[in-house]
Amino acid sequence: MSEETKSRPRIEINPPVFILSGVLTLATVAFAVAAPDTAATLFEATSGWITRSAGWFYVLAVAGFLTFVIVLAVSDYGRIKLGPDHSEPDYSYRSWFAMLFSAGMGIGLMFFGVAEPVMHYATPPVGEGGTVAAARDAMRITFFHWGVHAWAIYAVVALALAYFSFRHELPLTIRSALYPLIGERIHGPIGHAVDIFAVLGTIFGVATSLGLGVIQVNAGLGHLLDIPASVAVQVALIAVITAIATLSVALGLDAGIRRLSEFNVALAVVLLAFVLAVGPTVFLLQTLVQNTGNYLSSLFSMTFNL
Amino acid sequence: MFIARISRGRTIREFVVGVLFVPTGFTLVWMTFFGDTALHMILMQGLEGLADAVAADTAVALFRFLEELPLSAITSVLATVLVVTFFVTSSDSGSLVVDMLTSGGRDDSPVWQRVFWAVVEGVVAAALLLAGGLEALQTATIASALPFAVVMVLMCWGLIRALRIEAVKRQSLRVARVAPLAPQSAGQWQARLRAMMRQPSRAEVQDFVRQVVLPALGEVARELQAQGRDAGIARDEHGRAWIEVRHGAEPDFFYSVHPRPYDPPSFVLRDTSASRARALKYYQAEVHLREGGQGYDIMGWRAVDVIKDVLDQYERRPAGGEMNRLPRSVRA
Repeated sequence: MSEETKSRPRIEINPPVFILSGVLTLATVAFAVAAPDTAATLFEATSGWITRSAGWFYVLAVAGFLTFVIVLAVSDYGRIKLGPDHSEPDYSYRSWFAMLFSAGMGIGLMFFGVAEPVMHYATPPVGEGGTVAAARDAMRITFFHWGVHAWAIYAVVALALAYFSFRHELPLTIRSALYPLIGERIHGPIGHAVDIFAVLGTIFGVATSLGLGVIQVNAGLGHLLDIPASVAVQVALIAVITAIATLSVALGLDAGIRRLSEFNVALAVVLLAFVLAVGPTVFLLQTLVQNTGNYLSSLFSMTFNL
Repeated sequence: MFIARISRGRTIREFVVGVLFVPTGFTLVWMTFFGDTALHMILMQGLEGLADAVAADTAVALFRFLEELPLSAITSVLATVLVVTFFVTSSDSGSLVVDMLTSGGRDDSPVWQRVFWAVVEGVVAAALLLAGGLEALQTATIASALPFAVVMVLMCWGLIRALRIEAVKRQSLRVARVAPLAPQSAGQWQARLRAMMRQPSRAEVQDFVRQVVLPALGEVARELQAQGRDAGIARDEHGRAWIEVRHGAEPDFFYSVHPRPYDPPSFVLRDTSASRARALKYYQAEVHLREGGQGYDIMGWRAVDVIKDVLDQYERRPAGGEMNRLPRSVRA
């Protein structure tokens, strides 16, 4: 499955997955670059089609994942360790929570933190925009989009990965979760296909958040330094920042990256505290409680509302 | 994948509770503080302009919002810096994930692979921006998520299956576990009692494994080989010793003895420094089968007792059938 050559450069890849994902990704890129308008229309059409025809599947699947994970936790299976029976957790509760926090924070939050609630308030799916009721609903809807349902998805994937690799010593890839279904065949074409889907999903997902980030940075710079917001600037920004990231990878600064993300979260918390202090503090704390309550009580109905 | 890597050793329950509620909690707090302050501005302070600005260009929303608060110059810079650093860490972890997936799950692949994927991600982001901006990005994600959603359903199915097999196995083990000890001659029970009272050091346990367990395992292996089975013993530098019996089509049998530290009795004050804690730790000689530690200690046993235990476990190993769908690490 993996080839190792003693001479430079060392190659340790799973050829089918690596090559096919690479080819598919670059093909998409080439298409987008060569014929941007066609690509744009195609994307729009695809997006519409998927929402219309497959929207029900997504909703059902996500609801299913959430239920699955909760049932698992509550049942007897909840006592099974993600590792051999006697293993101790790698990280203490505190570090683990801190790392989960940092996982929770991301570019998306920054980009949509203000925008999404306001959007839902101005143009709510039901009812009249611009009212206090709309405001409350806006937060409820926002919570729904960003709450446990999204994390249920991550939880399922991470759970399967952790379980099969730590407890059963299978490779830490998506295909291992299929072992109980197809046995050793996970090393064949089915496994490859599964991993390729995972890779494509990851690449486009990360690229999306990078894109969002760059748009945001562009806006920020435009705000501060009057740099115009255009695709050209954004592409330039991507190039610069990717170069920085690549440099850090090439120089093996992984520990530095971890420290950087800790710094990120600290900074984010500072910003958060600032907003709390400077904004309508009491109101915010009250609404926090109210929002959470609203969210929890309408969780069930919102889940199945297409 | 990050979440998976940091959660080794957690129980499923801890994991689910942590992953579902901790990041969500943070997100909700963030959304409330930012979103509701903005709404408050619009509703209570009459800043209609904010709503319009958001409608016009979502990207600017954050900054228009920050403008309304004091120290806006500083916070805007802060926010921009934050996004840049998130960008870098996202790209970094993203390239790591893709690298692991394309190299069979290993995290020690050569640097150029990660560099490749980091560059690819940047290129993809740029290309999609050119092809339609935000829309294109989101579409691409949704589109590639569809087949993955199907895969995820399969993953759940696989997980359920594996867990059920585990439950069956645990039950059968619980029923079958008998106190493992061979009949003893006079004077042996005192030796056993003494062994229980002692709290052996690491070196003592390692000696025990080397001098008593390993030869005992060797005898069993030799006997098995004489019966035509493919059996072998081995040891490693951590002081572990094991016997492995390969059955070809049927599941293999694996019995290993590890020196393992355990916490000293509660009346010994626990020292917080890790290295001192290690020095204080007492060791056991714990038996491991394919699925992990069995939770009992054979330190101080005689060779004949060890042999009996190996045979007991060998007898109890599950046969083929339903078990075939689990990797070798679970079949005893």
